[in-house]
Amino acid sequence: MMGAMLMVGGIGLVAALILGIASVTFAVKMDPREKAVLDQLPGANCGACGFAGCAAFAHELTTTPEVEMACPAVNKDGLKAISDILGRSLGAGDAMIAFVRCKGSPADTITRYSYVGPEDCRTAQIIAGGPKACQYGCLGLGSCVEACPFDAMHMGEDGLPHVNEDKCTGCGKCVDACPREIIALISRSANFGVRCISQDSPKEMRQYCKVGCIKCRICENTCPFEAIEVTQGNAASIDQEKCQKCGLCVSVCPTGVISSKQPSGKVQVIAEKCKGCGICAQVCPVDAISGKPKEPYVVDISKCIGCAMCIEKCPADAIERLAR
Amino acid sequence: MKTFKGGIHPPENKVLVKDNAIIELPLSKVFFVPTQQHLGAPAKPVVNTGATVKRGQVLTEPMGFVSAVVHAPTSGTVKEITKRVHPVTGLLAPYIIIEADGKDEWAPGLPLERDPFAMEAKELLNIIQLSGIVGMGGATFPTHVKLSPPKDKTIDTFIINGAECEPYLAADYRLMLEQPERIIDGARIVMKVLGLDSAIMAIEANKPDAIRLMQEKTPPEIKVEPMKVKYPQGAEKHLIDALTGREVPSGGLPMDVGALVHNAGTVAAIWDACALGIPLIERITSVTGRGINQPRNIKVRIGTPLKDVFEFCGGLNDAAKIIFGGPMMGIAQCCEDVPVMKGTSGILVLTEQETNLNSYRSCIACGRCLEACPMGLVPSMLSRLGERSMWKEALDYNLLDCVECGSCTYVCPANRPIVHFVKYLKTLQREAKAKGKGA
Amino acid sequence: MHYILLIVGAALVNNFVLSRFLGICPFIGVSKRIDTAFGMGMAVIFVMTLASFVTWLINYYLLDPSGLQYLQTIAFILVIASLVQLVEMIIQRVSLPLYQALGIYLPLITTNCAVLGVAILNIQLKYNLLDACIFSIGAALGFALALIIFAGMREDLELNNIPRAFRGTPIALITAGILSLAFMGFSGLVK
Repeated sequence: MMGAMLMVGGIGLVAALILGIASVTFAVKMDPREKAVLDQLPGANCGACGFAGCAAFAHELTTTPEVEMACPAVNKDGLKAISDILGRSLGAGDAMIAFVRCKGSPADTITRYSYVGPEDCRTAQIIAGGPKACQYGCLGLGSCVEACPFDAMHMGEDGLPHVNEDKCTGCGKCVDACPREIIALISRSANFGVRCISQDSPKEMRQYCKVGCIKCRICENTCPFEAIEVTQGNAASIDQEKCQKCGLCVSVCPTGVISSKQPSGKVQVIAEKCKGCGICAQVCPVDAISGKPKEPYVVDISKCIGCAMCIEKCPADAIERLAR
Repeated sequence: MKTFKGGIHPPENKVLVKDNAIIELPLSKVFFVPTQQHLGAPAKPVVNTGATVKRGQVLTEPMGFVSAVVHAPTSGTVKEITKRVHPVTGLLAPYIIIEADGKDEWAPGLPLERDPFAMEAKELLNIIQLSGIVGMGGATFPTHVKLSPPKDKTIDTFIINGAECEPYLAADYRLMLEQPERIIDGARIVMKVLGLDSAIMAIEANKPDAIRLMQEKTPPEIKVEPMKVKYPQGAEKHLIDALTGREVPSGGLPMDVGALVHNAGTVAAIWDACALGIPLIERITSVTGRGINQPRNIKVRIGTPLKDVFEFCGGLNDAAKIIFGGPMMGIAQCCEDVPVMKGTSGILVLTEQETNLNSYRSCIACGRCLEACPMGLVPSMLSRLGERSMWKEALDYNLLDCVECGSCTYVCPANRPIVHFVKYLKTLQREAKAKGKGA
Repeated sequence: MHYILLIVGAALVNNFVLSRFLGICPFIGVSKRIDTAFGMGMAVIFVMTLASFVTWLINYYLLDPSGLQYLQTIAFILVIASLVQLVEMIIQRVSLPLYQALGIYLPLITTNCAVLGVAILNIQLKYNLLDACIFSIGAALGFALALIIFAGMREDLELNNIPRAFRGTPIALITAGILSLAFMGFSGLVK
């Protein structure tokens, strides 16, 4: 018994000695925090951060203090966890999601020829510029759906790709996959977007598409915040920083090419909550709210444009959108 | 009989049109002349809207050496200079639209009468350049550039390409039967420009009467060589390989092995330009396929709208696909509003039965494409890499040596569109190179 | 001649992975790319050879004389584990990318039954020290060979449209089985 224990112990001791010497000779500085950071990353290796995969990004983030948080797939909790591990606060950029800037399903557009070949938008593009008459519109063959590493896109019945906003991380792989740059990343908080990027003249465009932007500028002229404009030769586009989400452009657009996530609409005051402070009346750009101090204020629906500045500013949370 | 390794034997279908003598198409009322009918830098229009032009008058100015001039196909007025669909790319490209006045008057001084064999090689080369001559086999490479190899490359072999290996087409065949003198005299001019005293004329063995006639008519310095019937015998690298045993190196050109190949139609146009001063404004085209009622070989002016051609040939009948060129390497048209161009060797109107619309399946690694590939590449690998957009790996498989002949696609039992994948990979490589990512 | 037969026998005829079915874990786990397969192969050659040498010595000079042969398994595992730790440190220092690419499979060489298998076989087949070392070099070469060949096949498999039910491990195992069958062609080459 003694002998066996001595034997095994002895071998173990010798091995430990050798390993001890080796651990000093072959020491490599490894930061244990790096592993912890890596655990917080999604592991999809999508490359949106600009580094070669999650392991490389974790390494850079841990070792270089200047590197900023660039992973779009990490949520608020993950961000806090990484900040705690590294001992420095990391700000997330504005969360972005994919937005498809085309509404031209096969029913609304002209197809020049029937395409027979690989079901991939990029390969179809090299055959006479693709089967769609519009050179700017979505070919509907699904290269973007293929490219998404988070399974956040699927091809709809209308022959156009649809983005699942819950799964979309804004990594931008679909943006690269589209040969016509139809998909753009917009702020997650944005509510409106123009679904057309055609640079053809309205006359040309109407020959092959019923739902594209005809550059009539009615939206540009209607917007009270100068947030949407039609620049030379391009379709209308929205400056999301200026957009106050009033939804006027949507209501005046003749082709319906501006899409909205949440219905915009007029507002009303919840009388029980209203403290009568009058801040809403002050911020209203069209003077649609009126009332006496300390009494519930009232919204004149005919004047209200639904810009919701009042909802934003109300300290008592006493204004709500009207159900459409 | 001389031949090369690989290749395929598709059904010829030339019977539809090969015995039809060349007929001249009546003049159209409007001509749509693309400013780009050649490989290389684009050409700028030098006429304005409203200008009067005469037949053979210069319409464009080439932007660089590797470029070509375009001339007016008939007399009339420039109606519009605008963008229309181009037959080669399917995208919009600049066109000069001419409304014919019906008088068909030549530009002043034309046609000339001069002896090309009394002129210097340099002068002849200059005339070829000014006449806008490009490769009329379909590649449309500017001829004067081909005839001006760099100082360190010497050409010792000149081959006249009368192979016409593409199925359905018979334009060069009819040219050989009906106008052999133009070809022979044009070839002698090229020999003078190159400083050679012999040339070879290659004709595939499926044209025995053309072979006999050319053997009779050619002077002793031009040797007529019957070639084994196999596609793509008419591709320059394979003609050179079959006739001289020399292999053009990977990434190289025929001049690297001292050879030069011209289409029979091109040398005929060279004769017209040098002897008669007539620039390239018309050509022989086979309008064929089972989708056209009266298949014909037509002598047609460039810029003639397709609709006029179809009308002249009895109209369409159950047409499913229109191809400019041959069925193997031709370009399918996305619309009918396109004109005949310098390189349009054939207009195929195919019915659905003549077209392959089946979907494709996974590569089964059968190896038939390897046997068929005349360049000795691995098409199955290229198609699999194309499915995954892996252009960098494709370069290791000699992607850039593919001549896109279509032999692999023809034999594939899984119906894979291999040439489509190759073109796609080449597009990716070009784009990456343009972005400077290094390839 | 005797040594050549020893190597050929260990590497080809009775290939440790494809005939004896030892060391399947790294075989399937690291063979997705040729460069990692090569790295793993080299690591295993180092560990196997050194392990055989040391374990042979321990067996005949420590365990046998003291009548403690029954400690063979524990002692051998101890030696192999230490050697693997050593190899890990060396690889981490020499090539960090390889270290990261091998990942969990590097420490798993410890539990690689092929390494323990060689050590025990050396004793069972009553080889002398030189024969034991040559035998384990052959075994390691055979392991590396099988790994690299398999990695090449898997890289090519990536370019094919595998049916959904077979993607990943299933097709890998089927391919490994066919490779195994192929190596059976060597049987009878060496008695």
